[in-house]
Amino acid sequence: MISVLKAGLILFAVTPGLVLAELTTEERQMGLAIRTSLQEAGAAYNGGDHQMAGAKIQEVMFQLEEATANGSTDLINALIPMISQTEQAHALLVAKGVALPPFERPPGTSGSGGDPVADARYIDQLVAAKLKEEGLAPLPRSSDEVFLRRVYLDVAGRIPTYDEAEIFLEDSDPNKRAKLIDALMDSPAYVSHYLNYWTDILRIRDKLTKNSPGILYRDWVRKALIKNMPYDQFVRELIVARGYMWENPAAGFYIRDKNMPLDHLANAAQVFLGTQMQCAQCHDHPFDEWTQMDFYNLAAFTYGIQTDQKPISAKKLGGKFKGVTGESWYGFVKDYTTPLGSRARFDSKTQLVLPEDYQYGDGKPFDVVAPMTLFGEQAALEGEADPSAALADWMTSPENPRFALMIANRLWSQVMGAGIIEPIDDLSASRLASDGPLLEYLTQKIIDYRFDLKQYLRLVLHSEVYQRETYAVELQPGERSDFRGPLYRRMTAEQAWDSLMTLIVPDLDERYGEFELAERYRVAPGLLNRSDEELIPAFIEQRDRKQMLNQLEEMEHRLDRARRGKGNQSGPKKVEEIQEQIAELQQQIDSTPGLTALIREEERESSDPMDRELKEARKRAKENPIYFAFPKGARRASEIQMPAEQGHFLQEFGQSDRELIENSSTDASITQALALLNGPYFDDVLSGKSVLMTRVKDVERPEDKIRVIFLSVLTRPPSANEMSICRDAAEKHGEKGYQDIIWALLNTREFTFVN
Amino acid sequence: MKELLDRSPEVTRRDFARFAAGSFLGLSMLPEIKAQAAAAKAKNCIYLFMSGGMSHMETLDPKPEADGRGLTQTIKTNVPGIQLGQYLPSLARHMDKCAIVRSINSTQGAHLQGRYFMHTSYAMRGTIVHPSLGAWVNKLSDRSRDIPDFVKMGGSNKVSGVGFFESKYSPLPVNNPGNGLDNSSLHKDLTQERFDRRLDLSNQLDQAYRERYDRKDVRSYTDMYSDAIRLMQSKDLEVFDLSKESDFTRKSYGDDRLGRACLLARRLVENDVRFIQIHDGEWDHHGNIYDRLPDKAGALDRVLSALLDDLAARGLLDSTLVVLATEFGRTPVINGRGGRNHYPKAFSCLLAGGGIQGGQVYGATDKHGREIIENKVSVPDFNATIAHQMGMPLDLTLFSPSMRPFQIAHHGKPILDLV
Repeated sequence: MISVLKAGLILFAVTPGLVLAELTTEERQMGLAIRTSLQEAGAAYNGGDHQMAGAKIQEVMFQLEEATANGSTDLINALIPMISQTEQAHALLVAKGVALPPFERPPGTSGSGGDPVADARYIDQLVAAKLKEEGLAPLPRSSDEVFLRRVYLDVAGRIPTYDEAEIFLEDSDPNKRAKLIDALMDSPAYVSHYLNYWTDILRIRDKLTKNSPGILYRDWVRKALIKNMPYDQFVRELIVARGYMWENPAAGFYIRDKNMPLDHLANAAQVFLGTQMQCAQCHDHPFDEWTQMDFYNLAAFTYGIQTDQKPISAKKLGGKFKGVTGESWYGFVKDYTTPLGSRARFDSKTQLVLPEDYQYGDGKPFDVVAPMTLFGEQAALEGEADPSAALADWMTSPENPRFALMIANRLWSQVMGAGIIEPIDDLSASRLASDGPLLEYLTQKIIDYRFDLKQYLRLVLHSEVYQRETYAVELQPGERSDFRGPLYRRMTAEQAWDSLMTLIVPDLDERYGEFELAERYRVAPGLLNRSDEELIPAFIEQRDRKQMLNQLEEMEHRLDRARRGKGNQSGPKKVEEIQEQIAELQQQIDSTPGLTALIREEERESSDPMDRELKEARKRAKENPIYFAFPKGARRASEIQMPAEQGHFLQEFGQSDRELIENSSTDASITQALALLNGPYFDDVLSGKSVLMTRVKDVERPEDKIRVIFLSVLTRPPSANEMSICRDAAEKHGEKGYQDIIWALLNTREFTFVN
Repeated sequence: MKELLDRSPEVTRRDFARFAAGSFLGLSMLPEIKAQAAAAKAKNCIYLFMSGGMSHMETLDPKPEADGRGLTQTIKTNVPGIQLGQYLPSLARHMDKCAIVRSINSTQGAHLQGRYFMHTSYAMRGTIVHPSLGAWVNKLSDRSRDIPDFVKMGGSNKVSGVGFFESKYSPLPVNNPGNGLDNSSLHKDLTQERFDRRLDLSNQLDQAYRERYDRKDVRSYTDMYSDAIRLMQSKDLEVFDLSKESDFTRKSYGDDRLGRACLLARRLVENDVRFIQIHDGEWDHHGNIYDRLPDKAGALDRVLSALLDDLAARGLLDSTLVVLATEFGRTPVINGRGGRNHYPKAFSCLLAGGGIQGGQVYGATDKHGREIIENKVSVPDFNATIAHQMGMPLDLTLFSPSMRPFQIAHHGKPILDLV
């Protein structure tokens, strides 16, 4: 292994610089003196002289104490990165047996996790130093309009509404960018956006396999995002996930690759360690260092985890109905009991053996393979039957040389448009050797933040680098960016769809998916351990309930048609009529609980308050009167079928089919262009009820209407030339003219690409 | 290749991919591949896939003496010695144009896996999606046309899609063969005049932006819009309009989905589209096979015969390879529900036209339809035969973005006895 990110080396690899501009001459001198001592400590440590390093660190501690006791706020802020490093160096040296007085953080600086806003300045210094070294200039700070659109797309996954844009652009607070970043990070829109991101990485579909629902798994990831579950815990919970889907939805991690345990492991190594081992599945890796034996050793950790089916026999249960109703119930019962069956469980008898064509000297075909990890320290296996917990420990440890680096690079790439190392999920040894101080610093930060991903994202977003103008370079595959600004790119399919929805639906971010079709998945746990006396009447009632649910769905379709269609089945009166019918039917459904009568009790027992919270949020959204004023499908990409059906805007725009890791595309295609030109996708934006058209009608003057359109669609006011072109169109064609302008803007490259 | 990597420690996998793409497909090889394809017997291919598993026992390999022959009677064809199942009487009159392969062996017994194997020649994996045969043809033909060289009607993208190739080699999907190309005509609320006005407005408002961001990805969007607009006005669109055909022709194909799909396929062949794939479902006859199969087979019999007649009458059959394939056969024994289960061990497919010697049978199963007793053909072999007829280079290796090497038919050997 060429690059071993041993804690000490990475700690001392770079000494933080200083933002000198705001300091007095005296303060500068003070800061630079501390920096020199710290550098000397690093040199001593790297030279193997721990005692000398200790002495230097002690010197730094005195200097810091003095500087922070008398210094200005500016000086203290400038010193924070160095304080963090000193603190860590102190802990490291104490761990190495060097005797030092206890380190006390000077007052006025934040706790051990660090402060992303202050840490971000160090990112800027590292990038600036690198650019300077190469004789390059950073790009200027972006305009507020550009920043606004970008940060909404990157954090909330959609463009801002007209109102949101106005509020930000008119705010005169110099700190408004930071305020916006923090507000967006805590919004439900962040969860929606990152739910798309993680379900794409984990290849979560509504149908994981033929009989395994993915909806529960999707909701598990959603909850992890709401809770901001630390990333190491997130990965650990996936790796050790066992049980039925309804007990532990994270088991979907294994069920997703049912009967393909080797592929599953290769995928896990790629996603969490940036290590591509698919080749080594069949032979030694031709372009990387992995041997087939390495792969088998790693796969041996999880090979015993079996995915299987069927805890309740639908046949047996179905047969009992014959006595009651005289009909066969097999099919109906099976629908509800089958989803119960998917589970991941450990089977100690399943051992991984070398394949029949194994061709290398270090083993023979059919030899049993022992679990062994790839790099860093070996996983501690203490005679446990199930080794996957040891794998999780090893993988998610801050000592693992790839785990923290992988996620630091991944999220940097997600926000900045390219990884520091590319491709992000193929960190071969030669690439790691040249990762440079920026990635080392980011890696250290994500460890400092204890894998708090929100904290880490804040760090990147608060950097000046992120807030610069777009760097419109066309990188070749594998080529590195110098990050003179964030990279230019096309919106993802989900960003494009969610942005369209932003122009249509006012309560967009509150519209959680309801997953009506998932009733059969939700009721499943309630069926366990029930007597026939409980089950049989509930199933019989469920049959009526299901019929009503089908009817409800059909009515909602009619409602959609009535809203947008022509002819005698449409119009406001018809809409009202159908809405009344729906309300009536809904009452009937509520009084026919069927199998749901069996789940309620179980849900009350749910140990996870998040379950109830989510349920409440879904209920609340429906109580809002405008909820039913828009089509059912007008929701964010994270709240509808996953992946979307063929022919859906999301699919046309390149949404991942969830077959492979991050399998989405941003390529143009002729069917996509045809769909945008002639398809129905913009109809709802142009309809009178949309957020955009409502705002356009709110103002009188053509100039104001045009301004509303530009700010809503492109997040900027029109230029004088654009204003005159559009005024022309509006004068000639009235309301149709405004529709034409909107359509025209939605079909521009400026709408589709992110600056 | 390994030496190349050893010599230059700087070479990354991606660089290597570029090198590989350059040396195999760039300036040096592509003209040769194109020349080979142009000289091939089969310029075009219509690939009919009977999805679900077409029973060989009832169709192409009837077994009058088998224990599990069921209700199927055997009929004669216009080639002495070759017999078919009773549900294919019209095809029997075209046997002189067809070659049946009765000894195909697949390793995949589940639907999705079986279909995937038939279309890609590779077993399904969790870490890669392989391009299907049509995507290979599209990529290697690499022609710039209004209608791409790979059109497909039905079937999932995973099984028969572009795989790891660039998305521009994706099939053009035609979801409803009678209804033209999706979204190729004006939105119902628009006049041509208003559409033009909108387009003009869009171009005006975006012009400065496009000039400022004159990049490949932005340009490719602009190009794609132009292509789409050109296609909307293109005479080529007429190819999708089946009303241009005479009543007689339309009747002979039949007014069902399969009939319309095959008629459209013939029109696409006239338009020189190289690979047209048609997916016909509901062949999974686990129960009551004799209630359900006769209608399916009857429709296939009518449509396939009409297609062969039509191609022959227009002088297109010699240059058009017609393939009838399925993911597996069905068990030689009738099960308790009066149906047959999946049987990948031995089954049949059919080839016609495109330089194939008609009137012959290749390979054989035993009298029960159970074991292959002569000339076993693997799925890659079968696909290699199609690729060979189309002049595709079987030994060409292309690399996936993860740098794994793949061939068009996974080292299958073409059955040269058929040509």
